[in-house]
Amino acid sequence: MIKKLTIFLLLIAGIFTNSCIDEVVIEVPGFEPQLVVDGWYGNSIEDTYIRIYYSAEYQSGVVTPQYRQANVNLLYIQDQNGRRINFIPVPNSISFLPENYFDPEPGLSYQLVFQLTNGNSYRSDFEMMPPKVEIEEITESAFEALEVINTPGVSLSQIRTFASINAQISDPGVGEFGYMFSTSGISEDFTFSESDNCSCTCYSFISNIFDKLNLLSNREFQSRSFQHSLGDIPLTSLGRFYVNTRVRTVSKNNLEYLLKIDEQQKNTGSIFDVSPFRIKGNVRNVAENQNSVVLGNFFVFQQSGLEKLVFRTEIRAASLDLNHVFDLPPLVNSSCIEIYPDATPIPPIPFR
Amino acid sequence: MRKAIPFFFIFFMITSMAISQSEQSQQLFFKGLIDKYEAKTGIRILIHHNDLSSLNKVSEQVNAESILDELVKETQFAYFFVGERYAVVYPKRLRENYIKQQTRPSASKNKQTYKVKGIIRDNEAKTIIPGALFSIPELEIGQQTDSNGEFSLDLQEGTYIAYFSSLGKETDRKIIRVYQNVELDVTLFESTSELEMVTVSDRAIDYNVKSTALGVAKMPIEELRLLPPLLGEVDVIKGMLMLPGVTTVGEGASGFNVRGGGVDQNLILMDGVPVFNPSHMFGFFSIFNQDAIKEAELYKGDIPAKYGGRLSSVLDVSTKQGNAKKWIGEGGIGFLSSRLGINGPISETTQIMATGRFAYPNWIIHRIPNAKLQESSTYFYDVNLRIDQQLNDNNSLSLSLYKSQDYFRFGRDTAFTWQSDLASLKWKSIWGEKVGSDLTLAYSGYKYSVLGEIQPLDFDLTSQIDYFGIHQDFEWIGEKLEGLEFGYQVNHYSMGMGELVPSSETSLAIPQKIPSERAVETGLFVQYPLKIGEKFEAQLGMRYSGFFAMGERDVFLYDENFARDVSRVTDTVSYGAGEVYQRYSGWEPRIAFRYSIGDNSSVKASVNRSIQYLHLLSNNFASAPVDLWKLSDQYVQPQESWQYSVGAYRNFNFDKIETSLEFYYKDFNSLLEYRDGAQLILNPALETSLVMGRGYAYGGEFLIKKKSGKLNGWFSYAYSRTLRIVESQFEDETINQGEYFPANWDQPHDMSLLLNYKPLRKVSFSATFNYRTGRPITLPSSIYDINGSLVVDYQERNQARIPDYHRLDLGVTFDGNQKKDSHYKSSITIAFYNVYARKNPFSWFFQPDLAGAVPRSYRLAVIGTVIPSVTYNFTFR
Repeated sequence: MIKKLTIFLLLIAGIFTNSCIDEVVIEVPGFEPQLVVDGWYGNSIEDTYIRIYYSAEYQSGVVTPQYRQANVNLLYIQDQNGRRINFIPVPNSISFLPENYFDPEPGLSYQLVFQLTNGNSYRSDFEMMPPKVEIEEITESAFEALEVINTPGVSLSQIRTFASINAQISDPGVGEFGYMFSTSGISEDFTFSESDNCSCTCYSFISNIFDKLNLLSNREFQSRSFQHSLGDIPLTSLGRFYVNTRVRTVSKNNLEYLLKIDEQQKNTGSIFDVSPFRIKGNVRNVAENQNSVVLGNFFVFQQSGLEKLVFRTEIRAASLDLNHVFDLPPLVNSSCIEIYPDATPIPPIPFR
Repeated sequence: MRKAIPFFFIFFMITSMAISQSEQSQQLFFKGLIDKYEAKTGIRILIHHNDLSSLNKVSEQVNAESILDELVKETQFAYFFVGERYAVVYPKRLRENYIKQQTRPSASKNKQTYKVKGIIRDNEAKTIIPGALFSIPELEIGQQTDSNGEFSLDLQEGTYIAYFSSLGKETDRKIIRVYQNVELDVTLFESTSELEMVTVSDRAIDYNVKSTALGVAKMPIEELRLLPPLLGEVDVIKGMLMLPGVTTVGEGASGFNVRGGGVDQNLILMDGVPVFNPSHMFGFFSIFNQDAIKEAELYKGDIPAKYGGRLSSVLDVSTKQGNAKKWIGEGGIGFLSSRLGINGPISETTQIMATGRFAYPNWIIHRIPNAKLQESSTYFYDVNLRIDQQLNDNNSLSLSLYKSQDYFRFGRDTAFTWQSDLASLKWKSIWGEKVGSDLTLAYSGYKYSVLGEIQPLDFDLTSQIDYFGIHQDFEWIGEKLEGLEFGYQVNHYSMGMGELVPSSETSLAIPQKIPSERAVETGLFVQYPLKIGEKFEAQLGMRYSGFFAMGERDVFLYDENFARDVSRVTDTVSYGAGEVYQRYSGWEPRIAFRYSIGDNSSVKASVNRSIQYLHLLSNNFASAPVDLWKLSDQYVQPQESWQYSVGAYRNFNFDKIETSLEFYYKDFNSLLEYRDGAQLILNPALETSLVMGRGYAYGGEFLIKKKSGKLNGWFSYAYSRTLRIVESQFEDETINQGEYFPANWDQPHDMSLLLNYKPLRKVSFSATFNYRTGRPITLPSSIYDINGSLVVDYQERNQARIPDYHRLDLGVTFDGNQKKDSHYKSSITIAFYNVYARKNPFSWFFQPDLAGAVPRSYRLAVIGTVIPSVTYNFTFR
C-alpha cells in the first residue's frame, strides 16, 4: 500500500514538475535598428564614456550582438553653467572618450548633447550629480537555504549553508538618489589528486556575484546607516573568497531607468509580471522629428569601491549552530583546471 | 499490456454497474417507440415504469402516429394530453372511479375548491426542478412547474392520485387529499429508465426561438456537472468558457472576456451582490461552490435594463435554497480540495443551506524537487450560508452570506492573500395583487495584501474595496401592462488605492497611503415587453445611470501644453469628505426585437448602450487578483459601449436541437489604457500613468446544441476581433504611434465542443475540446546594451501572437447506489484535463541567464501536462 501511495505521489509530483517553462525559438519579424545612447559621466575618468550606436537584431541567446556605429559629428556633456566636456571617437569602436575632463560637482546638473552627421540633434534631460558615498565595511553572515541538487536522473533538495556578503553604508541624507552595486569575486576552489605535482587549487573569477543588476533607492534609508546584500557565496567548501565591490550613486531618474531594465530582465511571463514594453530614456531628438525613437540613457554617477578577502572557515566557525555540509573536493589527475577550465591555478594578488 | 489495464478497469466498472439486461431491453423497447412517436408528433409520452409490463408490445412497424393508441388498446390503461407537449399514460380505473363518484347521487353538489400548490425538487442536486410536470390523471389535467419549481392548481375537494415527472427522474405517484389548501414538497429520484423524459427548463422549451433574448445562456448546476472537472471541481466559469463569445487569455488568468470586452467589463453577481474577483488560485477554481449554486445565467448581448455598471456581460449566479422537508448533507473529496454542505429546514417556514470548501495542494507542491516550489505555499477556503424565511403568503426573506480567503506564496520573498466577503438580504413581496417587488441590500468587500518579506524592507501592501448597494425591482403582474418591470439602484463604492505599512518594528519601509476613492452610482430602469401580433415581439428597456465622485480627495491640475507628468502639476484642488468633485450620467437604451418565422425559427435584433464607471488597472500579462479597481474621475472618464446584435435561431426535431447564429458590432469609448512603464501601485498621481482610448469589436457566433438523449452536448464557434486606439498630441500619451492595436484578449477564432454520453444508467462519459487563436503579445524588435546590461527593445504593443490554444478534457462518472430509499448515495468522477498534454503557452518572455548575457526566449505554459483528478461525491440524509 505504501509503495502504491509512493508511486502515486511521484506520479502527481512528476505531473507538476513537468517543466512549464522551456526555451523556444521565436522568429522575430520586422527588425529595425534604433539609435542607442549609453552615456556615463562621473568621478572616474576611466568609467566616463559615451557610446552611440544602432541596436542589433534580437536572436535568443546569441553571445555577442554586433552593433553598428552611429556617425556623430558633435558630442559633449555640459553642466547647467555651460561648461563642456568634449568627446572624441575611439577608432573602430562605438565608444567616445573625453577629450577634456573635469571632476563633477555633486548637486550640479549635466546634460548630454550630440549631433549626427545627417543633421539630427539630440540632447538628454539635465541630470543632477549625486553625492559620492563610501562603503564603510564589507560584512558576512551565514544562513541556511534549500537547494535542489540536480544530478543525472535524480533531483534532491538539501538544506545547505551560504554566506551573504553585505555592504555597510551611511547615507548622506542629501535627497533622493539611487545606488548601483556591482560586485565581482574570485573563489578559491580545491581539488585533490594522487599525483605529487598537482596544481590542485584554482581561482575562479566571478564577474557578478549578485547575478542581476543590484539596485537600491535611498528613499527608505536617507540619513541612515544600513546594510545591503552584494550577493551570496556557498559555504560548502573551505576556500577563501575575494570580494571586490563598487557602488555608484546615480540620479533618481537614472535609477528609475535602471529599475526598468532590472524588471525586464526578471520577467517570468506570469500574471504578476508587467507586459513587456519599450524602455524610454532621457535622450530626445531636438530637431524636427520629435517622435523619432532614441533608446538608452545618459547617466551621472559618483563611484567608490572596497575589497575584502573573505575566509569561509571563519564564517563557518562563527555559525556553528547552522547545519553546515561539506562538498568533498573533486579528484583530478594533475590540475584543478580539469574541473575548473575557466579558472587559473596561479594565485591572484589578493591571495598571495 | 500495461496500456490495456485502464481499459479493462473501465470495462469492469461499466459491466459491474450495469443493470440487468432483461429489464433494460424492455425499457429500451418502449423507449424506441416513445422516441418514434415524439419524433412524429412532438409529444412526449410519460409512463410509470411499473405499468410497462401491462402495456401492449406494439410492433415497431406500426404507424408512428398510432403508437399511443396501440400501446393502450384493449388494456386497462388510457391516456390524456397535457397541452400539446405531453401525453400521460395512466390506469383507466382512476378516471372511471372518479366519474363514477361524481355521478353518485350521494356526491355533494357543493364541493369546495381548494388550492393545491407545491414544489418539485431533485433528490440528487438538491435543487428545485423548473419545468417538472404535475398531473392528475383522473381529472386529466396537468401543469408544469415554474422557474421556482412550483406549481399551483385549484381542485375540488376529494382524494386524488397525482403524478410527478421530470427529466431523467422516476415518475412518482402520490395520493393527495384535498379538503383544505394543500402544500406539497415532492422529491424526484433518478430514473431507472429513460422513459420519463421531459425537458427541464423554467422557460418554454423553445425559449431560444420565441423570446426576444439575444446572446443569453442559462446553465443550471445539473448541466455544469456534465463538464469534465478541472482538479476535481465543477466550475461555473469554466462552463461559461464553453459558450461562443466567452474566452480567457489563458490558464491562471482571473476572470473571462466576453465579446471583445475586458475582464472588468463583466458584472458578476452572486445573489445580487457584485463580485470583484471571481477566481480562486488564479482562475483554476472559481468562487462558486457547486454545492451552493442553483444556476448561472450569462447575458452577453441583450442585457436587461435592470442590470447596469458593466459594458460587456452580466453573469448572474444564484445560490440554492435549503430543503424544506428534510436535512440533506452532500460533499466531495478530492486530492486537492474537498467540500461539505448541509441544508434543510429549521422550521416549517425557515430553511438553511451551508457549504464549505477547502483546497490543500501544498502536500503535493512540497514534494516537488524544486527549491522555489518547496518554499511556496497556497490554499483557499470559502463558505456559503443562506437562510430563507417565508414570512407569509406574500412576503419572504432570504439572507445569503459568502466568505473566502486565498493565500499564495511563491518562494520565500513575497506572499499574496486576498479575500472576498459578500452579503445580501433579499425581501420578496407582493404588494396587493398586481405588483411584485424584490428589494435587495448588498455588501461586497474585497481585500488583498502583498507581503514583502525581504529584511529590512519588509512590508504589507493592502487594498480594500467596500461596496454597499440597495436595489429594488418591481414587476407589474396585472393584466394590463403585464411584464412591465421598473426599479432603482443606489451603490456606494469605496476603493482602496493602496496602503503600504512596515510589517515589523525593525522594517525600514516608509509607510505610504494613497487616499481611497469614493463614489455613489445610481440607476433607474424600466422595461416592457411589447407584443405586436403573433410574430413580432419587442423588449423595450431604458436605464438612466448617474455617477458622483466624492472627496475627500486632492486633485492635481496639469499644464495642458504637455503630457501629464508630476513635474507639470500647476495646482492642487482639495475636496472635503462627501464633496462631489465629478459627475457623470447617461441614458442606456436596451431594445430587443424578435420576429418569428414559422414555429421553429426566428430572427432577432438588439441595441444596447452601457456605461461603466469602474476600471480595473492592470498592465500585466493578464489580470491578477492584486490589480487595483479605480473609479472614474475628471481624468478617467466612464467607459461606454454601444452594441448592435442580430441573430437567427432555429430548432429542429421538436426543439431537441437548437441552433443559433449571432453577429455583433460594438463601439467602445473612453477605454482605459496604460502608458509604457506605467506605475500603477502606490502612485499618488495615477492619471500620469494612464491614457484614454477608444475601440471597437465585432464578431459572429454559431451554436448547435442537442439537449437530450444518450448523446448530448453542443458545438460552438465564434469569430471575433477587438481593437483599440490611443491617440494624443503628446508622444508620451500615444500608444502604437496612434494606430489601432489588438487588445490583450483579441483571439479571433474560438471553438468549443462538449459531448456527454450516458450509455448506461450509472455511467456517463464527457468530453470537451477547446480551440482558440493565440492571444496577442509584444515581441522584441532589437537588442542593445547599457553598461554591459543587455536590454531588449520591444516592438509596438501586441503586434504578434503566441501559438494557438487547444485542449481536450475527458471525464467519466460512475454513480453508486441510487435507490430511492437509500440514505446515502455516491459517485466517483475520474477526469483528465489536457489529455494530450499540450503545453499551451500562456506567454513568451525573454530573460538572460546571467547579468550581461543576451536574453533567451522562453515559453511559459501554466499547465503543460495532463492533470488527472478523482473526486468522490456523496449525498446523505
